[in-house]
Amino acid sequence: MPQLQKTDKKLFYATVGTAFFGLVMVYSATSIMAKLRYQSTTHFVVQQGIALGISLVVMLLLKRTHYRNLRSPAVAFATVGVVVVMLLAVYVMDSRQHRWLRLGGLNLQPAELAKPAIVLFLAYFVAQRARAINDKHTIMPALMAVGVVTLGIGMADLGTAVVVGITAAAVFFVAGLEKKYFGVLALIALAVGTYFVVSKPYRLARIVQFFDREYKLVDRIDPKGTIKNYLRRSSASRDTNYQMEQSKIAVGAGGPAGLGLTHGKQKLFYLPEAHTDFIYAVICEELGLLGSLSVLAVFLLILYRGLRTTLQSGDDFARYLALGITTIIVVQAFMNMSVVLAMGPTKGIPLPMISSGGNSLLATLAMMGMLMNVSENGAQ
Amino acid sequence: MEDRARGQANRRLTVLACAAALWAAAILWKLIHLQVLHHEEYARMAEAQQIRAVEIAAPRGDILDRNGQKMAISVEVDTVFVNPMRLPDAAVAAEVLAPVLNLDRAGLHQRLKAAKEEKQGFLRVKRRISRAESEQLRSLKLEWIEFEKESQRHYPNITVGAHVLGAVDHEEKGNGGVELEWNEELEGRPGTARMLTDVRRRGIEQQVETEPKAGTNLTLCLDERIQFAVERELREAVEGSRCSTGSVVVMNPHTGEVLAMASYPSFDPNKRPESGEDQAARLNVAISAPGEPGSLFKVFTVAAGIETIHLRPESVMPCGHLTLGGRTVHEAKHFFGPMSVAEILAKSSNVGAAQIGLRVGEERMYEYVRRFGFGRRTGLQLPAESPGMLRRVENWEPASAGYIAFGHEIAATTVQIAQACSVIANGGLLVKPRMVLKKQKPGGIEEKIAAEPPARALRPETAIKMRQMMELVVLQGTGKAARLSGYTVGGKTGSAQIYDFEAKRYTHAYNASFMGMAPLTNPSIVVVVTINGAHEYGGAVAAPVFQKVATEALRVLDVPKDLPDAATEETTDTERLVADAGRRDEAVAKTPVKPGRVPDFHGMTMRAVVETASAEGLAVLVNGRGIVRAQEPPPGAELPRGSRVRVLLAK
Repeated sequence: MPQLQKTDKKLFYATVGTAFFGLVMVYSATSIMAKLRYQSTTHFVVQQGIALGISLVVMLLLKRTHYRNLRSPAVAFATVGVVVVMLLAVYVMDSRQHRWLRLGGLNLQPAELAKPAIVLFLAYFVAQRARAINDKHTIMPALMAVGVVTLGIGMADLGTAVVVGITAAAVFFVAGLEKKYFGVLALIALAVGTYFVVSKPYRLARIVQFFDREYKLVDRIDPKGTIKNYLRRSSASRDTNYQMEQSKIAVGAGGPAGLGLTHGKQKLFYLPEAHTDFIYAVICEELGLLGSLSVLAVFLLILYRGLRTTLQSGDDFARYLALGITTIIVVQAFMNMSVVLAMGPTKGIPLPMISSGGNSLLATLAMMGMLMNVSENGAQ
Repeated sequence: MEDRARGQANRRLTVLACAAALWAAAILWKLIHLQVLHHEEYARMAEAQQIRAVEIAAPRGDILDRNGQKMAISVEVDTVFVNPMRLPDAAVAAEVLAPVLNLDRAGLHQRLKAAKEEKQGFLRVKRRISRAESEQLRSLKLEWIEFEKESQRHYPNITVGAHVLGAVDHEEKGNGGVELEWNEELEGRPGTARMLTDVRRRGIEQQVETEPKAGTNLTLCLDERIQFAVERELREAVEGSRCSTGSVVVMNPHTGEVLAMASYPSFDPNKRPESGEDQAARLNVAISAPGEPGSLFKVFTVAAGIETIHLRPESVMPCGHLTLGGRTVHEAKHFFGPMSVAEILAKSSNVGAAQIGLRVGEERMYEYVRRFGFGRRTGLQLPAESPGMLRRVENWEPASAGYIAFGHEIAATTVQIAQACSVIANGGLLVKPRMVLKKQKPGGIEEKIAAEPPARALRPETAIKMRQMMELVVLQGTGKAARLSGYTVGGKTGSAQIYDFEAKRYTHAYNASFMGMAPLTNPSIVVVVTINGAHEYGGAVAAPVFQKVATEALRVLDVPKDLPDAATEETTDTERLVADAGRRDEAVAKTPVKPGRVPDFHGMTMRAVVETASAEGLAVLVNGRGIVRAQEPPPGAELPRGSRVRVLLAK
């Protein structure tokens, strides 16, 4: 079978184009900072370029690997196993942030790498138990496995844990899980989520500040100020408001036309993390509506192609794999954009395919490779 | 079952798709909200925090002397800033900076700490540091130390022309002299720029909006060489005779160009005034401190007499006792009998001048005083010029015309006297003195500063007659010390008693003055010397200053001599003898010095004086010919060996 003919061209070109667009934006967002810190404007973009090269190779390999080959307990459990080991390792080795695993010259981010594993596992597990999805022998093990991995991710990266949680919920929802379980799951998620939020002052501060900027409500509820003092312990207590304000200024100042590529000004350290979590703000500022809407359109295209693939796929594994991948990427993208546009509390998740960061890029493109394969081979 | 499950799955997928679509719609709406509807508001906020308006300093114009020598220039120096936000530690920073910049460590530490706490983007540590300080700081290569160029005024000749030039304040604005009066021209216009700054107020990129416009260069009428000599001679004279203040003006009588203007005491314009410092040194005595001109004024009185009451140099005036306004008019030294007008000037008779003044009458006297430019500012374009003091004629007392005739009841500045003296020197025209010759905008063409057209004050013949009489003052009268070698000179001495306003009486201190011109046939320069608080007459204190200043000015200006060096021929013998004595003197001076007694030289011939003096180990300064009539110190005084004795010989 000639491979090219069957390629999902729309998905393929959108992905590759967006990845290269991301490289350009990483350069624009980092050149000044890199010059000041490393005396080289290309410090970040070179790293990102190498990561992009590796990620594209992985994507093409997975694109050519028939999804049937991934549909095995070996793949599902092995990947999840590796992820669990990495999460344990990172918990021990990066005792402060539980985020970075340094192996030789590689900086691995288990929370990012967990994403392809979790969608593979979900697809395999749900496809296996599709007929008995509401059976407790299905729900309990699934809850255990997904719960453990999500908790592990949440230790470091609450935002990604939320994305993973939503993805799992979406897959089970489509698989036909009864609504009452969603009530229970929601309660569990709320409880766990609350624990995570309250356990770190900065997280609580971000949430509280999103709803109550000046702590007026907090003052009324708690006149003694114990809560406020607790929130103050977060090193960056003014950060949330400040970050959102700066992000809005970047987007708003860009206006319909934009300031022009590389002519953005908010990246002069007004925006925190201009090249990772807030790269969408840089895009909006420099490229105006054209840039901001194009990025939105790309993720809508991925959503469309992903759901189309889900609907057209004949076998359950392909359906749930496509659904999981589509959900995890689009939810992450929308969440990131919502944070940039100050529609939700800051979470610290990158914009898939565009933000600087090799782990995220590798995970995203690997999943896109799988999605393309399903799109090409899954139709009945 | 299969289909039912499939149908439910698809329905649920549709629900998910709808949720995603709603979410996308919300994002779309928010994008439009921010980027389209509220774009301008956010653009303003962005500008407010990102852009800092900065001023680009314009270099101040140079001030040059008439030959293009630089008298005031602006040089670029560094000002040190620190970025408190990037400061690792305020205490360490203070430790590093304080010794290099010579600042108080504790004080600096406080400032740095305060700035850091207030999250200031920058803090100026010290303005306009020296090159050595700058190099030392730069060699530290600390990223939180920042430099900015500022221009600093520099006066390369230190005190030369200080009063005329003035100085600048800490903002480089003139605060005296030409710097103040011409500040707007000199200053130029600073440019503006928009500085893009990062979140820590660090400048990233500067966008020039308007270019700075450099200040205009000014060329003064001053000649730096003459100015230097004038200041040196003035200082020596004032300090040598323990006087308080003094001033000299050298002026071209035909053009009004002021070639030198000096005041004592002086100051270094490079140094900022310190609190508690005596500001008197910054006063330009020559234009700001009027005094009674005294006998100098007799020249103008006689000129008025020639024109109004047909006085001739040989007209004889009775110069006996005169009581004027209830007071007796005293002569300075001795009582004179009847004398000619020329003698009145040469011997400086107060009574004679007063009588001329009374005869001219107050109306005409007042008119002539005004014609000579007294009682109003010369308009030299320097700040703080005094108009002097001249009462309107309606307020004169009956005796005023007599007193003003010899320079009482009137006050004039040195530059006003120079202006009046120029009238006689240039043949009768009142030429306004000028200080600034031309100006030149950077890159522009030279622009001459227009001179006011002169007004006729005297008939040319009157001026010539006056010059002849003034020559007699120097040749025979009170101004002998003003004689120049190789040039004809005319002049007049003045010694106004200083009026003590508290005690309401004249003191025994004088404003000793001399005004003169040379060469007399067509004067190139007018020189006026005023020394205040002298204990000797103008002829003794001010005339020698004139002599030295005029000699130097004529040499510098390369004015052709109009006399053979006759004066030297006359005294050849004397000088040879004195020189011989001097040589012997040197030999003596090497032996231990023992106080000797001054012999009585009275009645001795020159040769005898020199021989006796050298035997005693004394040097003599000989003046005149004939036999010794007077000596200083008197006979019998104790003097160390090698000291000088002055003797006056006469036939």
